[in-house]
Amino acid sequence: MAEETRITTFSLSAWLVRLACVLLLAGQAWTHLDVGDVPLRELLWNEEMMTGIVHKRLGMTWSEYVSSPEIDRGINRMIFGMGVFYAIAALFALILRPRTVAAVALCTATALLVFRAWLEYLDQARQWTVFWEHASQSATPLLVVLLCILERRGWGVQALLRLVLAVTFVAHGIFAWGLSPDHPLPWIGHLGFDVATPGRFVEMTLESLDLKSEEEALQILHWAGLADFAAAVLMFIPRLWIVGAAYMMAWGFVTALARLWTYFDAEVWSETLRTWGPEFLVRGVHWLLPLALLVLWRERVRQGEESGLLRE
Amino acid sequence: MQGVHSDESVPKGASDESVTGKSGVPWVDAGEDPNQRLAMKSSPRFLLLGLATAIALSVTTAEAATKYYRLMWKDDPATTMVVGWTQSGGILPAVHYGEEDFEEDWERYPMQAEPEHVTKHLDLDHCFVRLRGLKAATAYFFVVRDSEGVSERRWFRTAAMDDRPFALVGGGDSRNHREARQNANRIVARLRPLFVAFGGDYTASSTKQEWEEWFEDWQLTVGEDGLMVPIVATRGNHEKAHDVHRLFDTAIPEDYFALDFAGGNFRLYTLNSNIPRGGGQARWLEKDLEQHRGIRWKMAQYHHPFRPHTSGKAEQNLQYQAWAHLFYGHGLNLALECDSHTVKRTWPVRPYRGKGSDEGFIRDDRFGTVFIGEGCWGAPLRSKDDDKEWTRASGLFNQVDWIVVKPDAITIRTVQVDNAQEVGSVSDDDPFREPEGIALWTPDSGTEVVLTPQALPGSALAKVTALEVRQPEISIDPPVVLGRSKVEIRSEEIGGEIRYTVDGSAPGPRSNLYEEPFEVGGDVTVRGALFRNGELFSHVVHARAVAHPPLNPEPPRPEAALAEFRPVIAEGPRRESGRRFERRGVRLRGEDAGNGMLTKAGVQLEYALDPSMRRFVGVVGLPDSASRAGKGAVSVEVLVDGKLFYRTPVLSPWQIDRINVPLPATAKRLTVRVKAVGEASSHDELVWAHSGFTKS
Repeated sequence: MAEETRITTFSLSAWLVRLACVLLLAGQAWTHLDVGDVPLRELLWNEEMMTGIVHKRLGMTWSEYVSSPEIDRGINRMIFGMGVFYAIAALFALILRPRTVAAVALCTATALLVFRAWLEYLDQARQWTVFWEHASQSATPLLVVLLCILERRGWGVQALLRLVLAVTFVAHGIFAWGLSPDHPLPWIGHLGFDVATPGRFVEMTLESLDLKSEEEALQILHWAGLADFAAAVLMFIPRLWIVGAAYMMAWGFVTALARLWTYFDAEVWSETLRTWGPEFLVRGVHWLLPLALLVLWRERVRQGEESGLLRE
Repeated sequence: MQGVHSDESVPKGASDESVTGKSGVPWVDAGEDPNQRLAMKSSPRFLLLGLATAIALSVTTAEAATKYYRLMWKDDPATTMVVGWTQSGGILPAVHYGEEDFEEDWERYPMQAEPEHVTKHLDLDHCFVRLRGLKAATAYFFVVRDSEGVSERRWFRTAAMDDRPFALVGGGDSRNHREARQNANRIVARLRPLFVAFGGDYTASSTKQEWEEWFEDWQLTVGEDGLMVPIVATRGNHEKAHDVHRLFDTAIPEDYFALDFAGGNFRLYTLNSNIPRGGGQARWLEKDLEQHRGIRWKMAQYHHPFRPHTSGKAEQNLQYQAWAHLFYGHGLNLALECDSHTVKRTWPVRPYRGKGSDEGFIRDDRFGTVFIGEGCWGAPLRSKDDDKEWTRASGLFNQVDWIVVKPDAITIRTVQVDNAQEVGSVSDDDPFREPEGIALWTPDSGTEVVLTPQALPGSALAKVTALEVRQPEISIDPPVVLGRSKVEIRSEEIGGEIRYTVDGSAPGPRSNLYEEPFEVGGDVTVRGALFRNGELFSHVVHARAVAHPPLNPEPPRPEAALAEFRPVIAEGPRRESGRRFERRGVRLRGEDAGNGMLTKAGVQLEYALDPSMRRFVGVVGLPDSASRAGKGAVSVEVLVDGKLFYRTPVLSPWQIDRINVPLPATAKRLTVRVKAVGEASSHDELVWAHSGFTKS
């Protein structure tokens, strides 16, 4: 890390990552505190994983446990508590003071977001793609710690940024492209994957572009999936990574906005905003991080601090 | 795949895609490795297996290597049945079946059928025998025989081809509470319904182990006498995209389809809320509902509730937009929803977002849809903390819905399943009577929900005016027809259809169906009304289009615009000399009036002429904005040197006139008078479009 340099907290790139983090944590807080549609029950109600703990720790039969309104309320309280934590963490991401406490809070937020990604994996029929799709979101509070508290922007931070973005876009690309035996390309079926394009992806494409058929939407998604893969690869190629990051920024914004655009209903605006507002906020990461990466590169170029790895 | 079949087991003519699968290998589904299967055909190992088979077949006392039996329908429930199971070993399985019970003596069954479709899914081999040409309302007994032996004898019933009563059990969400799931399955065995409508979320994570447990538990639905109950399977959000299709051989991979029961008097729609609710699915639903408009009973099942009764679940607004109006508009009687792990019943409701509604629905006892659910077939229970104005009852317990369908009523009873092992079995003589020990839910609003057919003969407008039906509106734009006018009929009511006539007669259920704005020409009276289930559902409203009087030929465009001249004398209520406008959006009969002038009614303006002015031209009329307000009429007079040269007809809203007055070479003064007629006042303005003087 000898080549790593310090930047001010108020550099634009750091500010963008902070903004992404604040939006992400605020979105999580909103979801947890308001609607509460969080897959915590995927773990706590998982008969296979939790039966032993329930017997030993709570002294209840599984049947009593999953039929108990008290337990259900307890889970709701846990979700609410997590929401409170996210709200506090969002505040720390905003003010970054005191630095040590903020760093601990944000690192904890990253751990909680990794846990959340795993819960989503459980919720979505244990498809690992779901877990990896959350890589950027999970890493964002940690990136704030690195960029804004530890004030580092060397190749390590940049590499981490690129890596998590690439992982997210590869996972997203797998969903968009679809890697199932029923894929239009027959050879895909022989790869052994069974990840179909989610119905919600198709629905968003269909509705937001006002297409006539699912086939058209799937075609667009297949191309988008390929573009996601290409962008992920480009992130590790000198100079060309700029193209990849620019694509990610644009596509990340479009896919974030698509949630609101597709599902927002002016007649029941508060209801749809409660559900899809947080979804838009948490996806700020997907376009603000690539933007931060580009700005970070510009900042470094401007300061003439090119290192061997970053001479692009 | 361990040699479950050979090519010989493919029925003749079975070459359609549903049979061949997308891999292109006969009756091998996409999830299977066809290479492995084909390799076995020609390998010495396969021949040895065949020899072993021949030996094994002589042993009839052994059990077939089959498990996880289930029955489904892909087609007419009265004449078809899909027998499915999982093959755990052995080869050459076949179903031996007939109307007479021969226990496990497979040779005596008169008919046999081999698997027509095999899927390898979750590392299990699933066989599906598609039986066709069965007799309606008939019991069929069957065994599966393979190289290992013969299965237990089981039996099933086909649906009737008439509207004799039948029962079904509805529910869903059977993940993560196995004990409750087993109890719910036992209740099915006790109630012996014609079929189970299952709303999805079978397992938590859709793993092999979870599905094996689920299928193992499903065997508890089999009656003590071997009666199997078919399942009509819906996809939930805990199933991967292809799980339900591969495990239950559903009609199409997208898992939405419809089945007819009771001789076509009851149609069950199975929808998929995990794929686009709009798009192809909604188009199919609308078309199918339209084609089956006359059916007495319609029921839908799908996973996600429109409006969950637990607060921690998102509202399904897109689903509401895609389906709610279709349900109501086509008289869907009953909808079974799942996902929330709580219990609810609603009053009949229709989609409506006005006063008195709650979350987009309002109670409508006459034409509404009853929603039941929301999924407690063996799932952890969630708080029922989000009741609506139209919630009839809600609760929190493990349950299934027992639904009895008769020609004159559908009766819904909710069965609490926890005491399933103490519940007796219904009698085949009186299959709808509550069996001994059954625990029914008894909320204050009543133990039973009874639905009656919606489109009862004799219902008419007199019966529906008590409802706050918002009347449709017809607009004709422009109402004075010069060429063609656009007719638009709007209705804020969701559901139903607008029928109209253009000859002044009253619209009926077979009149023109209004789908989009259309055009009329000349004097026309358009009458329209809202119809629902073929019956009048609103007042008949009408609008009239009037033909425009014949127009003068179009005059030439002026070389000097009238607005450029300052009148030498201006008289009128406010002595206005006319307001000039330049493409400010003043419109005359929907067209931009161009450079021109506005004058108030009652104004008289006098202009000095010079010899080069040879002709006074223009197009006059009330501006469109005034016309829409329904103001009065005006007429215009053109005088040259005090002598009347031209008078326009009375110009009502939307009427125009073209002025083309030749000016004598000696003319000195031109006067224009804008006279108010009828209710017109000085606030009414006249548009002088393209008005002025030509020099030729």
